[in-house]
Amino acid sequence: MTRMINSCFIALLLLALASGPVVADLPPEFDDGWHTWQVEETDASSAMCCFSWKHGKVSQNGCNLDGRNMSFSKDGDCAAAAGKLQVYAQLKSGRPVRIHVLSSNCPVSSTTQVKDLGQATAADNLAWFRGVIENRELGRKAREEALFALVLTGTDAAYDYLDRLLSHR
Amino acid sequence: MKTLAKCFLIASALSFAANSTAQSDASRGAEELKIAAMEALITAPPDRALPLVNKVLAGDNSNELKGRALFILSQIDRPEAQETLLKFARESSGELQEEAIRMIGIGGDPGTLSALKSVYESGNSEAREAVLEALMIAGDKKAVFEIALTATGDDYEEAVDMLGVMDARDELRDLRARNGASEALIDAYAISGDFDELRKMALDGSDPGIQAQAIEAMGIVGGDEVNSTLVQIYRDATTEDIREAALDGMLISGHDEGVLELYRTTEDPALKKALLEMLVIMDSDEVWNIIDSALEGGL
Repeated sequence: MTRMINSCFIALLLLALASGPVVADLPPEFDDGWHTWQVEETDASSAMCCFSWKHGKVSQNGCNLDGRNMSFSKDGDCAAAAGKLQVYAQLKSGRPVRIHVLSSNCPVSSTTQVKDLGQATAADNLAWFRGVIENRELGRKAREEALFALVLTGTDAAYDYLDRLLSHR
Repeated sequence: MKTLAKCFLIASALSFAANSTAQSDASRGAEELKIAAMEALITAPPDRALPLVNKVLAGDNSNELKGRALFILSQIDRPEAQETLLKFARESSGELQEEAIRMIGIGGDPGTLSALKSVYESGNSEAREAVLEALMIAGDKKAVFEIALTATGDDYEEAVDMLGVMDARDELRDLRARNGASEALIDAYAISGDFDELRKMALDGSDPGIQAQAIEAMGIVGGDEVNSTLVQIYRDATTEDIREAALDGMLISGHDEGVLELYRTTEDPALKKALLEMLVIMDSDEVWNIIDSALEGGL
């Protein structure tokens, strides 16, 4: 009987692995800290960066990844060339906890190292976001941030995915 | 394969009892994900958000999800978004209708807000209440005042309440001039903090019932000026009802110092007893000093 249960366990585990959601290796699993990767999205409309205004003038631009809040704007000096996005993801204990999508030329600072993973394909990028959004083991904040970040990518693929998500019965 | 089939049977048997719970959790999880996806559309350009929002509103979705979709609509500055909101405010029913009405208030589009008057006129009591809330959210005192001008009974009182919440002192004074004083108006004056108007009514003895209500309501406004006025009204009172109203006003405003002052200066034993009882109700620290004094005096 024990042998039967062991066989069952292995068989079910293999099945679960085979049918589970595909999560792209972006960023590498269990590699904590900030990671960034660039995505070529031909139909992206993102021109995202952080600004702060004092007396009607921009006194600082660029985003501090360690900051509690980011004052985003879609306008201004950080407007990136259409179609280039920079994704930032912070992992703790192997799980994404914070996610931002910014313009590729938006200056970013952090007291910790930000590992640059280089270019990712649009498909891998979307798969990574899906992996976060659909992973019920993850914290609600991370999943919500992933949804907001996905909307900010502004791509057809992102909206097609949101459409499917909202139409799901 | 045979082993795999057995595994399925065993797994099915083991998980049978937990299945309904798991399905329920999965269903709730899917619903929460949809709501989060809808909320994320707040940052989407209108051209991108509108088709998805309209699809959700037209589909067989929960009222909660549709409610979020209505909120997204309220944030879209496009005529078609406002038209859809108004359509739901007019044609849907129950929670969804009330949510659509409130979202029109949150959106604050002047044209759509003005259309709420007809929704108020044709709607049931819940819809009428939602319209008042929407106008309150939008800060449209004039529209609420206009509703109050023609409303009667409970509808009038609800409109007056809302004007109180909106601090619409001029409009409330206008209503008193037109319709006379009422309990609803007194409450609204208190909520809006209109001490001057309440004092006028508190010092006007032509209708003792209204006068007593106004005195008591002054306690809600509170403050030094109110407190000293209540003490003076108590001293000048010629009837038990007015004296009691002043005492209740002091209870509401928490003016135990005033009650203590009256206790020390009052000679009448019956009034002294009532004032001491009030100090006990107010949990005043001075009560113990009074009791000590009374004991030392040989009680």
